[in-house]
Amino acid sequence: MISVKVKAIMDIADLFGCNEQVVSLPEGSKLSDLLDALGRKYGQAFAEILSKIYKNEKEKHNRDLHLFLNGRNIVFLEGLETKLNDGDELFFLSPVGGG
Amino acid sequence: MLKGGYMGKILRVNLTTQTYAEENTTEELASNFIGGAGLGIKYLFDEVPAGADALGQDNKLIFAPGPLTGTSAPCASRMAVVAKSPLTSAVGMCTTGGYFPAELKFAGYDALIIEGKAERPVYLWINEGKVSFRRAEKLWGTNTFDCQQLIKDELGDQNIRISCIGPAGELQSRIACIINERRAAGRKGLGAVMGAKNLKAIAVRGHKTVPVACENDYREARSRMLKTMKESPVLYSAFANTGTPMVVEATWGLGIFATRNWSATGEWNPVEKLGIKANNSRKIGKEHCYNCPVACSQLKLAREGIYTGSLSVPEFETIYAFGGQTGVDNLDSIIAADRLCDELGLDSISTGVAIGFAMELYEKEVLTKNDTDGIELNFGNHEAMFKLVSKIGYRKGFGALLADGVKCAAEKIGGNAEKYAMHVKGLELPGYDVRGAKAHGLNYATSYTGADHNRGYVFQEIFGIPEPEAVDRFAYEGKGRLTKWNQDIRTATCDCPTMCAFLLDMAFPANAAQNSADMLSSLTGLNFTPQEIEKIGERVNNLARAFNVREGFTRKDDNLPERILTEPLKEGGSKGHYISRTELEKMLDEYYYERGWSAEGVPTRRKLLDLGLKNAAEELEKMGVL
Ligand code: SF4
Repeated sequence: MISVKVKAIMDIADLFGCNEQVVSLPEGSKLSDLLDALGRKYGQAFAEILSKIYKNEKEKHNRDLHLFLNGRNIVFLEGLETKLNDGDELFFLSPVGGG
Repeated sequence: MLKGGYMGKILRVNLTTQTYAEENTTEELASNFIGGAGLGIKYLFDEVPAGADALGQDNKLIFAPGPLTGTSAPCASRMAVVAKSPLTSAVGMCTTGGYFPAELKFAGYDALIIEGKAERPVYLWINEGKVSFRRAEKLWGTNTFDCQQLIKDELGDQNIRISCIGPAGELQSRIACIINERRAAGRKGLGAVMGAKNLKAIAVRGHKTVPVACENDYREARSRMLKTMKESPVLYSAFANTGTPMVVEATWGLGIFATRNWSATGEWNPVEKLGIKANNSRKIGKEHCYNCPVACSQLKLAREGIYTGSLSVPEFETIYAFGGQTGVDNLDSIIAADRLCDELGLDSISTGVAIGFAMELYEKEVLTKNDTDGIELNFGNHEAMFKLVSKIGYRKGFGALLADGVKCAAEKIGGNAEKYAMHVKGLELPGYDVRGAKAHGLNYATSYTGADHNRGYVFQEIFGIPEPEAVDRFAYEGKGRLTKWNQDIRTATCDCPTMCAFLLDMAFPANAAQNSADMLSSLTGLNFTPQEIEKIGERVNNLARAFNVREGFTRKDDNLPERILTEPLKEGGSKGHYISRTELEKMLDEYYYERGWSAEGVPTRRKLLDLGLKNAAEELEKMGVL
């Protein structure tokens, strides 16, 4: 098994009930497997987020939600097909602005 | 003859002679520089001689709203405040919102240029075409809130709008700001320029309306603008209810919430104590700028300890400066420190960064209690942080050492203190640890005002917005082009017309130039295309660069603090990353190339002529750098 740290803020942190959690997955899992595992844990509300993520995957000009694996936007990795390693960190960046 | 957007007049005030004159706003000026920052920098370049003392007679202080300011355009509430900066000696340009900028238009002016120096403290009273110089001895020493109220009472009109300085500006602290209402032209020490001129405040009242050239087109452009704002995934939802503190959480997730004088970024989770929920638990209301349907300013009341009762609107940057930078996790102390900065007229970013700098030196035993007036200046000590704010504002004791910013303090302390001074060109770093956002780092290095997030905010890296294209924040390739784009688009669509820059990333990341072209063309009757809008951004950035070159700035000043260039982040979402010297140099090469500048970072004659900046080309030629 591998452990992946999942970080989230704002609406998604509210859904998760925390900003950080660790999820265990079988060796060889991909990012999509991690999302499936979270889908099983958080049900319908997370399914809606998932559909956004899958929609964004196809859209070049996504402004909704961004996923960062070990700090890197997954559009610069293999997207949802990216293979996960023990100790990886996934961050859900909800739409944010200002600053 | 200008048909819309402009009031047609620029007010020039001489404090030495206590005289004033009106000049025409020309079509040439409007078409080439729009207004706001463009107009201000044009006058600065033309009228403030090379090498002028920023706190002397020759410096000018220019207040410039834009054509959209004071109209029914949403979030066009702003003005640029421009002078040579006493903190950086480069162009000092800040924008501020609120109500004063629109009132200046209602009084009939596209800009106010202040020259000279009054013999005794005065304030200006601009009442619809009439200007009077009023004695301000009694106001000298008042905080900015009391000052505004006292002037309204004295003039017998509670609807007057006022820009003023607090004690920090009077004492010419190089990190002093100018306050209007609860808003600040915050950075680069413009408050000191005002203080050096013995000008305590400017009071304005007017009843004119801003003319519109093509009513129907303007109405349509405005509807499109409002519609695009509604389509934003964040503007009217999270942002309107949370404001900028949401960025605390985003930067934590990305591992770039700068912490403990940038020595511990990524090693601390600020979300619980300084994040959205903590902020919202202190929220008692909202404020907005002139004609803003968003109202992002969240009024917060400190509710605990010695800070109880302090009321303020700490933005993300202030939470970074008094929180992350100083390692303080007591939000009430941050609210109180923010309030104190507004009262004293201090830039909260520079003040917090200066305190964090001193804390690191204290922990490293470069400074001891003997230096700090007995204050135990450890990271995380919120009482020490709070105490230091007023010492800085009043230039008292140890505070006097920090009152001119970290660059100056490091020079006075000597040794290797400069190594811990987080600034570029003298301007303290804002709160994004650029080791995990490299274009943001390049923007800090090259912005014409020093380390300024507002002159070329890299929303592509910080918020993941893929416009004009998706960007890998850890890569350095392509960042020269991106930085030029960000700087030019922001200047042209926000700082000149004006438009609140929050709209740029949240509503118009993909079509800001088109939106500005539509709004400005219909409002003014002049023909602005999106391409021309972008070119105006480029023109203004080149003119500002030419000003800095004339002041002696070179490639070596486009730098970053040593820590950024040598210390990889140890933890968090950007672990292992930093900007190496080689990467910075490569980014600079690319940036200069994209800008059409020489390898030394000097705009070429060809570029300046192409942008219609013949005067700037001649000036640089005289210096022998062209
Ligand atoms: S969004 Fe905020 S800063 Fe911008 S104009 Fe509105 S209230 Fe002012």
